[in-house]
Amino acid sequence: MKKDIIEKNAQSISVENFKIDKEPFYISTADEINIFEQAYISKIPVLLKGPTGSGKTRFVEYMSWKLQKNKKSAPLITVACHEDLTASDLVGRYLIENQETKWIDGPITRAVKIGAICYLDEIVEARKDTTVLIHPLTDYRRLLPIDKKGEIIEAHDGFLLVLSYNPGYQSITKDLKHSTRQRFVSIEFDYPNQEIETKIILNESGCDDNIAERLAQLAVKIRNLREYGLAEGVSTRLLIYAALLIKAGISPITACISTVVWSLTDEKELQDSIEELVRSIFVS
Amino acid sequence: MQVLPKRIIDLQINFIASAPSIGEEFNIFITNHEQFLTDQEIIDFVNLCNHISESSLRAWEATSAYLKIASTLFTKYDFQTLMNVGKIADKLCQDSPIIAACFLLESLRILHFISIKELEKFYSIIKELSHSGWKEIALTNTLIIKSSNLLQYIKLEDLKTVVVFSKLLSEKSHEFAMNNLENLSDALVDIPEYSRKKYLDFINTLALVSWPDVGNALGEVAPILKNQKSKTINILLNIVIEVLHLEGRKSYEIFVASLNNFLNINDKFQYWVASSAKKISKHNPASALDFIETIPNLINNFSRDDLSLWLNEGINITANRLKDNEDNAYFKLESAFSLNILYNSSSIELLERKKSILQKYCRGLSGVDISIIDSEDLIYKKIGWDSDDLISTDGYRIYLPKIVNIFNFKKDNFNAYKVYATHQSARIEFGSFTYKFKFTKVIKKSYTSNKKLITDSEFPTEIQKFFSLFENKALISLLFSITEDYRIDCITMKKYPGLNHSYKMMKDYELSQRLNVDRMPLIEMIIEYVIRFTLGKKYNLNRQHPLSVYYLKIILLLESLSSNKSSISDSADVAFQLYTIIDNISTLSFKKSNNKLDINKDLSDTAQLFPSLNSDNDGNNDKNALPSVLPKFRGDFKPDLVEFIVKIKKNQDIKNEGGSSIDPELLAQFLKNTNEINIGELTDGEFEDFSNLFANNLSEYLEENNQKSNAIKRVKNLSKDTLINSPVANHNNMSFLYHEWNFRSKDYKPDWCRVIEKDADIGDFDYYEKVLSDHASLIKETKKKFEFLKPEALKKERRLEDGDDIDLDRLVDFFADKLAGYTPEVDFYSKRNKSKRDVSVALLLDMSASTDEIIEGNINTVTDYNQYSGDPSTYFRWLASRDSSKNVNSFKRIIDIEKESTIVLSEALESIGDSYGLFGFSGYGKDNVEFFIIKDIDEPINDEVKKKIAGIQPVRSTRMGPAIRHTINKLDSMNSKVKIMILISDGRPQDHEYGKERTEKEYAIRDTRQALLEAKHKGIVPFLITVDKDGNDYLKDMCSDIGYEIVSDIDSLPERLANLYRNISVK
Ligand SMILES: Nc1ncnc2c1ncn2[C@@H]1O[C@H](COP(=O)(O)OP(=O)(O)OP(=O)(O)O)[C@@H](O)[C@H]1O
Ligand SMILES: [Mg+2]
Repeated sequence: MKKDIIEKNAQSISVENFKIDKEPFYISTADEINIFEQAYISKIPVLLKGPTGSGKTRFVEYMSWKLQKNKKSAPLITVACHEDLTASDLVGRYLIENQETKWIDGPITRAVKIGAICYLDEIVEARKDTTVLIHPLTDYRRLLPIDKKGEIIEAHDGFLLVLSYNPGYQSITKDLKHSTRQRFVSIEFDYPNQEIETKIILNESGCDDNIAERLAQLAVKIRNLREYGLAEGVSTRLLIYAALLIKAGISPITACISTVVWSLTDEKELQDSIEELVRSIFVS
Repeated sequence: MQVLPKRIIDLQINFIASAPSIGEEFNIFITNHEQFLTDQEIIDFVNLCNHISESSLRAWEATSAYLKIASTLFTKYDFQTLMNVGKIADKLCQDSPIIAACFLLESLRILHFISIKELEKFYSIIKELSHSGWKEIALTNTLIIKSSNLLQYIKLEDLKTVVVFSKLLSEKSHEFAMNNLENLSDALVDIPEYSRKKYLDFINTLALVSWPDVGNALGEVAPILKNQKSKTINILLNIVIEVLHLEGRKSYEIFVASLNNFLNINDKFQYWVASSAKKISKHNPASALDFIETIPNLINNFSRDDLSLWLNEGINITANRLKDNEDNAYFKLESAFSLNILYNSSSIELLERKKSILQKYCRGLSGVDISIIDSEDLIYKKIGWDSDDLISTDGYRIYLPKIVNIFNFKKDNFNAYKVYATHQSARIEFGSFTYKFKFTKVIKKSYTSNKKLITDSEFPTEIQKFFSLFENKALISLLFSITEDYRIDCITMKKYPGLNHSYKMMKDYELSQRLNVDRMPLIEMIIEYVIRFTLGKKYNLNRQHPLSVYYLKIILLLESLSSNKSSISDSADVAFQLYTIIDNISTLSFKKSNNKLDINKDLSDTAQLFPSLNSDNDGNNDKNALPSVLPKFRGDFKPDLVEFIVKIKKNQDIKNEGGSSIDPELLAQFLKNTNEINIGELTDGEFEDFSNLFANNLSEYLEENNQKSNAIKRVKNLSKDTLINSPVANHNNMSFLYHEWNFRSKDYKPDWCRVIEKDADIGDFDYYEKVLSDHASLIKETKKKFEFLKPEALKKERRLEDGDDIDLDRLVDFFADKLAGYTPEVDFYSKRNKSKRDVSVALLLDMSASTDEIIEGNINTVTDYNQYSGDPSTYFRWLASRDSSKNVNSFKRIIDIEKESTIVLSEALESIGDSYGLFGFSGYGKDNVEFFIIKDIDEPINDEVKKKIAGIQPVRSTRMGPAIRHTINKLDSMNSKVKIMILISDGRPQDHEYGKERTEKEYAIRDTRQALLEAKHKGIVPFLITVDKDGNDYLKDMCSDIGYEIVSDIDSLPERLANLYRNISVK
């Protein structure tokens, strides 16, 4: 590995890099803010469950900002998990430099040290051996063993582990183990209700009131189809995209078809049905 | 008395000699007419008589007959006529005096219809038939006797045809000819004059090509033609004559069917149909007949233009594919191509094509698990909905008509469907069925205490509680529908503005269908104005109009419903207020006419204005007077019935028991009070019957809903049934429709075959075990071969301690760790690893009767040992295989081999863990393809399955196509990467009407091949194994690109199966 990369890595340990300065736009849908805050204070790890685009990431960002504002240092380190993500990717590894070795902290180690919120997005995607790390970190000990260095670090007071997962499309084999699951406070996310979603769309896209309202209405109708062949309901994210297109001058029906209809399913018949919903709600 | 000349006396002696009475009759004739006859004439007459009587032994009968009529003939006509008739009789006498006698006795009647000059011609016609045998004589006599009758209807010339007809038939059966000749004239009575000749030709053709049908034709065709008023029928007859000549017998039935249909069309259209048929018949007369049979079913739903497009395309096809269009699928509507042309050329929209889209759409709108159902099904259920073409909902099912064709464009007709569906779904979404009775302010205010008070327990439904406030239930029910529908419309327009355009179109259409309001009685008129208002037409009634004040009031009330927040309860309030207003109008109209009837009586009179709403009226009589009071697109609103059904359903759900747990008292009470079911006047006994029946129907209906199984799974959307509007029968559960390939028309026959899934029969458990032990070594060998197949679907696995590749990332880590003094694990290898196999197999067994045949000569199939290679072990192997085949197979049937192979294969598949299904098929005819489930693909093998394998028996025919298609369907639903279908059969597809005749193989084979290709398209590997008896394998030819093996003894099976398996499952 190149030297400058390593240096960069080393530098990036600085807390400032993980701070969120601007208030992220977030509308609370239940008492999730309160729960998270209390969990943070009580050092109980948090599990965020919910379908894609339902605001989990946004929520964690918001909480990070909010906690900082309340003088509780809580920078945010996010890791998007994937199939080949191993424990050492999280903890850190040795690199070779001029016949010398240099230890580089992984994101979790960094978070533990600086007292950050460590957000492991889609944790079930990661390899099983990551649970070995998660377990000691999430019980009363709050310890991170670093095997390779033969060290064990105790977590900073500000450290909090947050996992997210989407129960919708996981197969049983990829589900979270109970021994893992039961170490967390769970916060369930679902799509916001029509009123809140209207506000979100309005805020994120800056479109017309009416358009936002209609899009939120459409979302409810489409989500009704979740049991009938639609794997996931339409996410707030997609609605925002539709709103942005409409704001840019594309006709609502066209915008909805290309953002919502086509992104949701490849099944022709389902597409047609959703299109009919769009055509009932928007005037062509 | 005058003395007779000597000659005459001599003659007399002659007569007397033959029969005494003749002399007597002769004397009388001479005596009576002597004065008008010359001597010469007498002599001629005497000679003629004499000649007749001398011609043969029984000629006296003829003479006697002659003398009997002589007097009348002479007086009515003249001597010449007398002689002419006699001469013809004389000639006939040469063949048979009996015929002559018969002719003479009939002659007077015959002469009514033909001239004396024509007698000779008549003779020559009769002569054709008359021969000396007694049968011919009898037949000729019948003809003579009938001819006076026949000649009333046909020309003498045409009598020739009758003779030919009689002759043709008598060649087959004398009796038959006699009977039909008897019936012919009766039949001709019915036939319109201008068609008689054609009809005779038709009958004659029938006698020629399909004589057994002649009797039917006389009995059934003639009465059908009876009321025919136009000559177009002759075109039809021409066509059928032609077809009969070409196609023979079978066309008769088609003709009768098409004739019936044809005559049901109106006259103007008949001509178009007939002349179109004529055009078709130039290319193919049989198709023309099919066309005539099909078309009457289409004319209700398609315009002439639509049909012309379809016709022209059809003529085109018929003309160009003349050779390979033998099956004429196009005009029979048995080709998907034809159906598509029809659908696409018309503006029609079909529920079947749009059902699932609309269903999802409604589920999306309402969030309720709604099913969309053809409304015919609902009427069929007999639970209170009875008008055809109806649109309605019971709260979780939406009923829609089969076909919509009210607009000129398909898109608009689809939108009409959408409007229908939206309105019903909106009822569910916006709470039309959630009414709870309350004494609202409105009701309290106008509800005076002089009416009876409501006690809660009295009514089975909330709606009935509300309706009980009113004397005229029909009126309040109507008003409630109007207000609630209007409310629903208003909300829908606000929530779904995209529908505005379609709604407007629909409302305008409905407005155009309204009856003229001007002549209506006041009450009817005000209601009409209200309805029109809800359809978007507002009137400015001028002040003098007696209704103007009321109208304005009503409109204000209705407008209060248009708010987003209004509920069903508001609709009830407004309906209540409308009722009060209309009540006032009726007082007004009676004041005017100085009538002193009391209001309530009067209101029930107004109820008479709405026959279709009035429960005392069966609604059919006056349909024209008031076709439909409410606009059709909003459908039938039955809040009372729906509430009741939902209530019953809830009770059942609570008790958690299906079946008839409907409280009879509650039901009786409901039925007596409800306004939404037409019962009519019933006696107590009748009412009880009705109520029981209703209870039955209702519980059946509810049960069906619980099961929620889709009874018929349609593979494709469009079927003949829907287009021709015929009621669909209810079929068993688990039956499936499939297309069939018609190689002649190069097209599918849509939804042609019905596959019925059945549980396989149970057999003897020991059988399976016995096969296992009989073939122990074979099975072992097979398993071993299959074990080799296990590796499959390689996947790269990382972080292994050993492997055939190195994972570079890990290796870097490894060295870094090592350098840092940490002892890392050696885990930087990676490997393309065998992961789980992902194969699904379906084994499809032919269980047709032909598999019952014993496989003989197995010994021959084991090659003779003639290439001695010097290796004794090969010799012994050969010897062993020969012996085993002798012992095990010598009395085996094809089906036994199939069964044993099944066991061998399933043992082997078990050992490698692939999922597999075992199916058998047989059946008879296209509507009854039996598909036996021995083991479903994801079902584990168990004793039950083993017994089912033992139970496999030859059953009936072999329609392979649909069985293959059904298997494809099963495999298609599996997620496996590799899908294999193995078909084991005797190679002889054969079924009733699977091909033109029983011996024709090509149709069946081509369909089977097509089905196998369909499998390929779906990514399924088809493979055929033929257990061949003696090379009667018809499938061989078609397998150029499909895996195929002949297996005649079970021992070679494992090897081949394993090979096959290796080839296809490891890709
Ligand atoms: N409650 C909310 N307040 C504000 N914005 C929201 C809210 N919920 C969702 N959003 C919007 O939806 C978008 C998607 O949300 P986010 O990315 O947080 O989803 P997620 O749950 O993390 O999805 P994934 O599981 O796909 O990562 C955000 O960009 C934000 O605009
Ligand atoms: Mg996210």
